[in-house]
Amino acid sequence: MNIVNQLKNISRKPEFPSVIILITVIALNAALQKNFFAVNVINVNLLTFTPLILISIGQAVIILGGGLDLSVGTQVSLINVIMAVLMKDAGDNHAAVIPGFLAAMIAALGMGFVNGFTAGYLNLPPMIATFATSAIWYGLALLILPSPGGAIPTWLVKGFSWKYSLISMPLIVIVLAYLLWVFVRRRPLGRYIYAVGSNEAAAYANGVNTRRVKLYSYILGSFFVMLGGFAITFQAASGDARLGLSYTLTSIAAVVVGGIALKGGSGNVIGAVFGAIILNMVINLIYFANIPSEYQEFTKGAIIILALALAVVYRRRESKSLAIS
Amino acid sequence: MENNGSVILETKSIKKSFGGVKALVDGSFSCRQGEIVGLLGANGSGKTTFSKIIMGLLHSDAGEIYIEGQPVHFRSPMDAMRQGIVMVHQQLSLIPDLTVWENINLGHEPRTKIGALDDETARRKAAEVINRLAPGLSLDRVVKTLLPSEQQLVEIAKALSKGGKLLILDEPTAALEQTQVNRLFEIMRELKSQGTTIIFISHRLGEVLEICDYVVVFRNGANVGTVRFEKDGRDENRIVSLITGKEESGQQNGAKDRIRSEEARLEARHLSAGMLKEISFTAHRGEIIGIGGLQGQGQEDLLLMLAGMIHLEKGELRVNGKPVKFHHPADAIRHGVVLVPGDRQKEGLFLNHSLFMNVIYARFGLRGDWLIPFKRLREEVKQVVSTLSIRTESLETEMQNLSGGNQQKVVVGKWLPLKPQVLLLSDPAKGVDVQAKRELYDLIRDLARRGTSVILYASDNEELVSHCDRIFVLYEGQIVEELAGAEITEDNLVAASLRATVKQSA
Ligand SMILES: Nc1ncnc2c1ncn2[C@@H]1O[C@H](COP(=O)(O)OP(=O)(O)OP(=O)(O)O)[C@@H](O)[C@H]1O
Ligand SMILES: [Mg+2]
Repeated sequence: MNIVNQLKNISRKPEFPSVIILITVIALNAALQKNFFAVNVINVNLLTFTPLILISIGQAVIILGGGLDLSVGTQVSLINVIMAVLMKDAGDNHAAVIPGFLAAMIAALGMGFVNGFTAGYLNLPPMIATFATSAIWYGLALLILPSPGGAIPTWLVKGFSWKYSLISMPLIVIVLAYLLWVFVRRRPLGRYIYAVGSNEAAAYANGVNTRRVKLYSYILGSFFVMLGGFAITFQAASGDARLGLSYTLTSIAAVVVGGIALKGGSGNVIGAVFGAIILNMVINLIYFANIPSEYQEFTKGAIIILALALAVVYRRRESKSLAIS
Repeated sequence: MENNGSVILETKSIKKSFGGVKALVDGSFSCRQGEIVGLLGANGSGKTTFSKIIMGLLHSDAGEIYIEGQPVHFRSPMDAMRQGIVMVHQQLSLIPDLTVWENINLGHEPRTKIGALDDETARRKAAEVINRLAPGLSLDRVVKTLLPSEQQLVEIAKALSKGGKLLILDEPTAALEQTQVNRLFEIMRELKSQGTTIIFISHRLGEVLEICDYVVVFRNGANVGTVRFEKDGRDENRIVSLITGKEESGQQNGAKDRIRSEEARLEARHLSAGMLKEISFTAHRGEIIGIGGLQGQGQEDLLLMLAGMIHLEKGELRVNGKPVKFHHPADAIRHGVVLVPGDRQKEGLFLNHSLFMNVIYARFGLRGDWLIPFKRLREEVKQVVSTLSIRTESLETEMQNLSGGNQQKVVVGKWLPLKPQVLLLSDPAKGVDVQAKRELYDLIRDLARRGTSVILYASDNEELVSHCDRIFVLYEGQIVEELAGAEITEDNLVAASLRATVKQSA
């Protein structure tokens, strides 16, 4: 009886369909890719998945708070070029990378602040506001590094791919990032992010400082995006202003596949993690299924639509049956 | 007894306009510690605007507010809450995606020593109020899945759990039934004895006479008078004439003067769906049928089912003798079966569209009705606005800028031009003022006289008793008793509702 109830509760969770999809793509991947479960294959996969996972966590926090960030991709680009330019001559001098990290962090929090300010205090619609800021970040990135270049010291690149059996640097970063969200979720700010995302006017009437909550959700989101930017940068080992562009829409897709409502206020951040892994695995699948290259994009799109449809249709059914029962 | 507690709140000629609409022209008011003050007035007379200004949700154009003698300028609700002012909002201020207990604690979450959310304490605090106000309501329900009345109770519980020295209740009882109101009143009396001041807004005069020490009446945005019960007596007519600005004759025109017809309009045979079981009845032409019973026994579901919003699992439905199957609300509308839903914000209105559009949306369910020129529709809408005396600046006013009661009139009014065969009403007079309520029921009776059959659910028993030809008492989704003719009295209805519980549990 208890177990039945627990199962029922699990199946009610908004990220439930994404878990099912995740299991399915893992099974398909395992069938197609030899040694899928070998330790080093898992580590390599995780390494390549890390940027999208971290960026999607950031996007999820912002969307949960009723916002949307179309600038995460160019935020990643700006962070990448800042680091590649400032760390280019660091060599083996460990202290010499500090300015690069500091500048990247200041830039990330600054970009979060600007986005949060336009959405929270100026009350501009986030879709347009962050579309505009995304152009600004991109412009800045191009100014700093007009054509691909710069470099990241090898010891940093190696350090990021450090691993011991299944414990690897990317895994540690993802876990720490998620724990940071858990920390926030366990504070009033976490509750308020959901409240503002669900019904801003009501939250305001209850004495919640809704502007500040929105501001913080963007800053926090940008912090996770920054971690994603680090991950990409350590893999690319150089700078390119175009590097982040594709992450914007992919991260939104990951969030929705993960069962988070685009209108905000419902869903769990862990769903975005699942969503990001799913989308990455789909790309793997296409690669290993030997699909001719001219069909790859087409197939990718079709699979994403399918995953989205599953996630969204399930949500709708759930909320309908809840409303009537 | 003159209350000699200290003055808690005093306002001097507060003014507030929205564009060209003067919502408040002279909001003057004062109340003392430990008083329950009734704030009355017709729909759109400025009660909510006044309350929101005190709460810091709106900013006045002119005027002064004093709290315990000190002038204050609240810039946001936070400022007001810090001074111990708490409000129950007419347009509920609940977070739909959060649970009952999360909502009750919103904005003043208990924390542990390290600053984390202390959910255990929060739940305990929520349980304390809920157990008194809405026993049986689960703390873990997500608010958007609750019935309107349950949501209302959560909204009240939230304010009560905040505590404070001044409590503003903006139509807290509009969606509640008698037992729920009684529970609320018990708590209000207790708070009063502890020195809390309460401003109570309601259109139900009976409640106001019962719970308040005195009433203040607003008309067209100005304070037009105070009736102190100790001094002036509980004179209902005097209050009503203050509200309407007209001499009150006192006679109630509730006569059930229709001729009974035996022609069947709507026939339900063994209908089952969800919690509803084996519902069978016949509604005749021109008949007004009431649905009574304790709250949450399937009354709203029954109406939703008849309107095609909940699918039939079993049974047969006939309209004018012809069997029908409703797959969508549109099917029902095409057969002339229309619903005035209980949750106007969610199901009845497009809050950010104009009044005009909201009235004509009702037509969109009809086939072949798409090409009527707007000019003709405009005349029709004007007609609706004047028959229901809807207070609005223009036909283009956005729905959300109408006062609560006026929004409710639109929900009902949009069906009038369609001359429905069967009119399903779920608490149609919720939040509608005394005079408008009378006009609304006059209109419903008029429709019935012209052949519409009406099925009415109302949380206020008085409405059922004074307007229905027959009343079905529902219990756990079944019709367990029927009252007709002289049996229809408030006492009998309450007795029948309670009897149902006893009979079933015996
Ligand atoms: N935001 C707004 N924009 C424009 N007009 C508004 C707005 N809010 C209220 N009004 C108008 O101000 C007037 C007073 O409205 P208010 O809500 O205070 O009335 P009320 O006394 O609470 O009525 P009810 O009993 O129906 O709730 C109404 O005419 C209403 O249409
Ligand atoms: Mg009002």
